[in-house]
Amino acid sequence: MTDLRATSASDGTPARAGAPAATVARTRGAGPARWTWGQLALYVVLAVVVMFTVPNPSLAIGMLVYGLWAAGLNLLVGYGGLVSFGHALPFAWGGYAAGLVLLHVSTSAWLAMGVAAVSMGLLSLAVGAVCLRRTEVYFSMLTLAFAQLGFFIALQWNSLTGGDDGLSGIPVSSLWLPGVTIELNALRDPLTFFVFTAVVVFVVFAALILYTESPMGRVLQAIRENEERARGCGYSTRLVQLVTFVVAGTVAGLAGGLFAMLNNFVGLQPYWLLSGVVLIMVILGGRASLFGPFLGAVVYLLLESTLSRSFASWQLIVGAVFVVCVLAFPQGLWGLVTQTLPGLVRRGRGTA
Amino acid sequence: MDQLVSQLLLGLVSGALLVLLALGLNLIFGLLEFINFSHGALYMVGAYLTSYLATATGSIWLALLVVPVVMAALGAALERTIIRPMYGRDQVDALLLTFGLTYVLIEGVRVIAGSGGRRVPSPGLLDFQVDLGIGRPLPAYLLFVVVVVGLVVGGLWLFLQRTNVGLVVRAGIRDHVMIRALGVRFDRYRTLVFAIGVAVAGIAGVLTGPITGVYPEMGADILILAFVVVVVGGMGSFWGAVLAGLLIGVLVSLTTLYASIYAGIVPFVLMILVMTFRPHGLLGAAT
Amino acid sequence: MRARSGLVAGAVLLLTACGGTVAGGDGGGGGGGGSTEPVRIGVITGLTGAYVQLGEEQRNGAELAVEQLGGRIGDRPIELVVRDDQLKPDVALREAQALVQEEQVDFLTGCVSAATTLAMNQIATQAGVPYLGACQTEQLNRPPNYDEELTYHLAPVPSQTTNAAAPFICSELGQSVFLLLPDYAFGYEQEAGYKTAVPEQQGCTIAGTAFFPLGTTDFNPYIPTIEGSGAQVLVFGGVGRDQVSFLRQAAQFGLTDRFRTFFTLEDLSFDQELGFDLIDGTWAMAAFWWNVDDEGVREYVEAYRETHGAPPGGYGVYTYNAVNLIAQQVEEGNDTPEAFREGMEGLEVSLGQGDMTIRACDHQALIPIYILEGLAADEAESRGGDAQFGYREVVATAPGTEEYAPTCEEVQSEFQRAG
Repeated sequence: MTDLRATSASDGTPARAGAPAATVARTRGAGPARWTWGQLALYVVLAVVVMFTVPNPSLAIGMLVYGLWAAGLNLLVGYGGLVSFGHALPFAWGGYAAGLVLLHVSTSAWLAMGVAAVSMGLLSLAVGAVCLRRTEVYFSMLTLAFAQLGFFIALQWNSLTGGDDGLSGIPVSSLWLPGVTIELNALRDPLTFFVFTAVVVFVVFAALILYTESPMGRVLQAIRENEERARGCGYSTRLVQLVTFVVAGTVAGLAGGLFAMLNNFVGLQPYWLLSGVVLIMVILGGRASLFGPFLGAVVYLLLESTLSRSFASWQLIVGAVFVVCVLAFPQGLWGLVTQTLPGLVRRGRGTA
Repeated sequence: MDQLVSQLLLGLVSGALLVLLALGLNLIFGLLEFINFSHGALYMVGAYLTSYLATATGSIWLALLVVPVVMAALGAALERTIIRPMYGRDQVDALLLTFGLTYVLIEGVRVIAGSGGRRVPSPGLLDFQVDLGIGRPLPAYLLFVVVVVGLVVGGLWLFLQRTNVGLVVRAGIRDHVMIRALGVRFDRYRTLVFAIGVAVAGIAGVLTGPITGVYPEMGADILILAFVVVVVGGMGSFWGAVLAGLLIGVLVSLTTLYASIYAGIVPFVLMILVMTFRPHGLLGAAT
Repeated sequence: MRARSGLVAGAVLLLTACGGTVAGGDGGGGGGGGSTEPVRIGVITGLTGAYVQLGEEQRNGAELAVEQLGGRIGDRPIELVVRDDQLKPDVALREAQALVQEEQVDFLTGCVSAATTLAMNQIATQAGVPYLGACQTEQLNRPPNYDEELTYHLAPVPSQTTNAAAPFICSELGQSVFLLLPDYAFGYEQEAGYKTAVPEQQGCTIAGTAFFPLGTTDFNPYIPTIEGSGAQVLVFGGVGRDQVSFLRQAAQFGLTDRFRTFFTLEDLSFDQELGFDLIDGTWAMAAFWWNVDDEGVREYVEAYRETHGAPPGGYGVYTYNAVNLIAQQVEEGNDTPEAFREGMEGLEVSLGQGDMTIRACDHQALIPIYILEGLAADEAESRGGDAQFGYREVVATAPGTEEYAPTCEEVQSEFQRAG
């Protein structure tokens, strides 16, 4: 069925173009190959811009965290073609993991982050093993089911998670570095926390880029194009997808842990809603790259914080923008910048 | 024993409403090949329309006739405008689009009707209890709901099995390329099926109003349950949706009786189990 | 790589040089400004989401208080900053951070749900800003949340209300009680409260307890259990939407004829959704009712009604009181957190809720609790005081004394669920 669908839409997403933008451009010998590692520079620029312009420090740090979370999700959605409606699960539970470590074990930031990432990686292994038995819509529905399950458990397991009230009173963490131990108190010293977050995100972001450029990442994209053909080439498609799922979950867990350290609090909200929010960030920013979701996260949070002050119904605007994005701009904001605009410019100049 | 029986019956009632939603979703998925994420929000719109109509005219009977028609028109309009462009694209894009549509619908309703709920007057005619000999009287309205759902299910089945239009729809679900090759104006059928699906969701909204009142978030939770029903029953399977809907309704009801804290989790555990051991759902066919 | 780290280093230098946004503004609102510096009061409440009416009431209550004060306290103007937390603790947290860091509020108040209040309290106490909680919860006054320098609680704790309700229920409604409670903290707190208070009443017992998940709209599955319990009284602990759904379904089943139904919390805004038909023949409890014979209450109600066209429900009075309390203290010169605390502890005052005492040991407001009987439409004017809004009549009052509140000893330990 998939093969018979019309492929006339030229919306720039890798799925339509038949290959990720990077590879296409490489064969043309031009641009986007730079964007692969250039995305790191873009991230730094974005982080600096955020640092200068966003008046609320907690919001600024939150943008970095959500951006990382969205970038991890895009590994599944954009590069893997697997839409997960349950990506709030590792994020939220990563927060609980970090929070519980800080509350009951030690205030070491390394430990909190490590436990958050590893525990969510393991959880994603288990969840992915079940969800990936089916693909496309079934996969999405299954991720949603697991998210709901996780939500109910978080709600009921009051003694562990604080239930509806959330996990409060999480102590401030300390980062041990050779020679100095830095206290990470976002309220009293936001600059330090921001720089710390920016560096962590930088490193993980680089790792994600490495993943997409690696053989595993390439096969992932091939599977997205045509799973049967990839299998025919001898790749174990299920394994590749599972590894990606685990990586995305680990990144989400780390992001959630950072978020818990930022707020010293882990709240509870319906996971399917939260999963929807991060999905919106990915679509808004652009599926074709890892930087796109970052941009999407920043823009979404900006919209949310500014619009919600003036319009009680700002979500209507966000929903409408989202619908328009899916309809007319499936390549997202970043896709607009990297593909559509240069395309227009080229057409304007009369070159092919 | 009495408690068990009445709990069972109540489960059938809540299951019946799930069945309506799941059938609509299945029809849409079968022919249009995407999961309509906005189904819950549309159900909510149907319920709101009922509330307005009922408050204006004083009874819900008119709503039962008018709302499905209005919802069908709304469904047709949506299909022609924003859903049509999705057909050439990934299944996923339609999912995302209807997901965004949900936001728009819920917020739109909030803007128009306010965030607070609205009342739906109970149908005066049915404000009595029926003694079925199980020791506890049941509200007549709930039995009415079961009857209406039964009629709708029967009507849909007849439509699909015994009419020419239904024949084309069934064929289209099986193989829409072939149908097109045979010269059928397929887009008309897509509009029709989407409209029917939305209308059926509207009927569910009409029926639910007097039970729970109406409020903007009402579609969200039931939608997720409806997804579970669709998946458990087998995507695209008519009787699968009916069976799974009733099953889940009864299961939740019974769990509430014996271990109420787990009632919320039961549908999802069931879904995960079915997906693991019977990946195509209870009555689904391997495609 | 070198270029990039240079970029980062340069940015950091630039920042510290210009005192940029992330670097600027350390946490903490100031207390004690100059004599003409504005007093900044932050209100965070649920202005969108399921309980928007309650949130709007809180905003209205605060704004009314500011208006009545003429917008100033002495020479100092009042700056009221109202934010929406969408009923989500994460958003409440973020808004609290914004109010404390950007707006530099001197005081923080507001909340509709317990989850958001704990989040706000956390930020406020971390930043050194007094927080006046405005919704019911057992946990604000206790460890690990309570900060003796900065936390105040203007709404009653659930055990205050259950202690007030139990005598009435057991003597007037029936001696066998069934509890149908929501499955989250508020429900557990009610459970603990009722399970202590009901058995203390002579001959009164709890016939059964059931919990329903938050957000349930289908209560039909619980009805057979309730019927089978043999209880005479049904206590329902849900709020808002839950209440509306439940009452509709209970009425359909004729449950309200066979049981005397009692609601732990009611609010005028939901009464309007329910309507006289459903309210008639039920009982409820509230910390505020607009038609109460008290000077302070009447003043507040009339002013509110004049501005908004309808009497207030139960949530606006908390923020109204909060603003007035802050104004009183600041006027007396107690505008630092320490001085505020000294002024508040043991304070006895009469504001929008009638006579109120702020207990010293846990900064808990001790206020009267009212037991309300639901009326039919034809009694609204005669017994309810207003043809349109006279949904209920006060049939019993528990005064705001220590008798009904948990003891100062009890609040030293964390809240525990009933065994």
